[in-house]
Amino acid sequence: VEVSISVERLLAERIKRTWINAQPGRTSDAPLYRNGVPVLNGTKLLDIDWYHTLDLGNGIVTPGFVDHREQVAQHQFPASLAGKRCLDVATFDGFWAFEMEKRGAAEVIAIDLYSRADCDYPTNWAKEELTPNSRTLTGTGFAYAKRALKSNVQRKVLSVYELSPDVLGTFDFVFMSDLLLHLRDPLRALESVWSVTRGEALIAECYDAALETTGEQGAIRFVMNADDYSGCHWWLPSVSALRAMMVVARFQDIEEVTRFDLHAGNGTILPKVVFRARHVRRQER
Amino acid sequence: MTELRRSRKLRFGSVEIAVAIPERTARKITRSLSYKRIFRPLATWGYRRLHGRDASGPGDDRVSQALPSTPPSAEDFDREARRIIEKIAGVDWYHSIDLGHGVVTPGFVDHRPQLPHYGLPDSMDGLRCLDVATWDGYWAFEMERRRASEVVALDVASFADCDVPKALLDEVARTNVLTPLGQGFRVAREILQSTVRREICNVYDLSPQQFGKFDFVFLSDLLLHLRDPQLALENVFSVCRGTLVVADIYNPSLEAYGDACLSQFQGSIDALGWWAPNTNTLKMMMKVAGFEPVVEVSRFVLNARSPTPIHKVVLVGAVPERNSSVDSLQAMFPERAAAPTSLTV
Repeated sequence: VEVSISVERLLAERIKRTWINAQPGRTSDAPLYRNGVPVLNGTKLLDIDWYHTLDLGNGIVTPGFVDHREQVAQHQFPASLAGKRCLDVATFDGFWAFEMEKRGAAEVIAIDLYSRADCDYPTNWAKEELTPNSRTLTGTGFAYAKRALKSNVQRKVLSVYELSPDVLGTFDFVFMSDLLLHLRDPLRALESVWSVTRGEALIAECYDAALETTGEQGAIRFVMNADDYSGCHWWLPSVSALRAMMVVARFQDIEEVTRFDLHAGNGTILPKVVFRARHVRRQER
Repeated sequence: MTELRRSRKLRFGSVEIAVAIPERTARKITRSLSYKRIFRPLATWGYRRLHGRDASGPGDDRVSQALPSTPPSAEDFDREARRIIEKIAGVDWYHSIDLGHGVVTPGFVDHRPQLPHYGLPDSMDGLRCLDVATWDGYWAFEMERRRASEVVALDVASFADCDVPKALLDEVARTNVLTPLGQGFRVAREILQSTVRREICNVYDLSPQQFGKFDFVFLSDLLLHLRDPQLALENVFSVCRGTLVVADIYNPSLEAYGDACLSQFQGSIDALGWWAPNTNTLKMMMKVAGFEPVVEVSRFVLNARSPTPIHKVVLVGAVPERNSSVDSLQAMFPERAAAPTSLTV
């Protein structure tokens, strides 16, 4: 006898996290969900391991690992997104999603993984690494910031690989930042992003500065290290490799906007490149 | 962030000298006029005097042995041979396979003179073997010839199941990509009276639930055609209980950077391959998939009808005795629990 049950991904995630929250070992600072909305009672700002530096108003600024605030203009992030439907891919604490909302976006959807255990880890790693638990749940910071900012950004649990027009529709403006190096198959992610872009995509990714100096076209580095915080690092591209991948993912009007160094916590310097590209629909051609 | 260094190893008899200089300095030197006009020609001349051949890498002098320039004509052979030649005539051969009676299929690639480079065990008695992406089946038949107890050969059903760039989909749909592959395999299998089992399975779908585990897995010239080679290696690991041989192309121009694991994205619209990694990357990818240790067997230029040399490396990986993935994880990343920001380059 073979029985197979398929459930819509979003519903499955909701069931899963209800079950996890019912576990006796759940620590008190993990978010509690009611009707799919996190309830923040007892969660203090400093209990959260912030990735983004966010200005929450009233003089409260979160102690993030990266502070994009000074460099938003360098990204040539659109000054106005009035009336636009926007997507932030791999939102983490939601800095870019809140920026979109601030600029008047009609609708902002932010996607992220349910748990850090869902990152691309080598499949032969221990089951304990690959099974979500209360420690690896994501979205605590986002939920806190969303409430503090009284934001209407919708956070959806969805992998970039699962992005498709059938799931979330298409978007006038798509932003993706610092995600590709965490993926085993970055090209598939770019193809997914392309598929939901109906206007413009802004892609701001880390590149390998040392590799860039060699002048090897299309070179990419197999980094492969891992930590508990951001999953695995797989491929760190040169700028030419990134551009080539965008071409193969069918982006058009690809334009390099800028390069700069992102100064992150612990003195880490991350060289970044920003590309702007468009998805030209067939009837427009 | 450490600086990239370009390194060269020179061997004089039993002495090996390794030189590594910073990439920027190396570029400055190689671009200087005195290097181009004086040093480089002198060095090339000197090397040729010493070794009698070019310095372009080991094994280059072995190219183009035993390549039949024209397919043999029917009159040269006996009746049985003529029957075989008729059978193989309609097939576009990839592998050169010796079918007996002096008949060899006119393949794109002839592995026969280079067989010793692959380090296959002389006797594969009692081994359960898997040939991934078998095409005309040369390697599967070779494993059977070495008395493997069972050989399973995997291939995709048609070109449509290969990793095709999405940008090419429209164009691909217009051609006859749905023509089933495996004609050559069937013909060769019949003539050789082989019992190799050919299964249709994409390497991305490979699982022990479907095929069980194998003592010996052979993976040749496939990874370059895959968009996600790492997933392929991880799937292969899941069905392997002994040894894996990876014989794949590598990128000689990325070999000069010491220990750095580099690869090149080649997924351009007109190229057949997706990635051209250096040997370090291939080794590291095998390790990440779980194989330990990974040992290099040989490097050589593939004996193929290709206008440009195809550089190959043969790597052998073993499945660790006690496959504790926690152990291997800790061995690879001893400090992984420490800093959240280990983007070391």
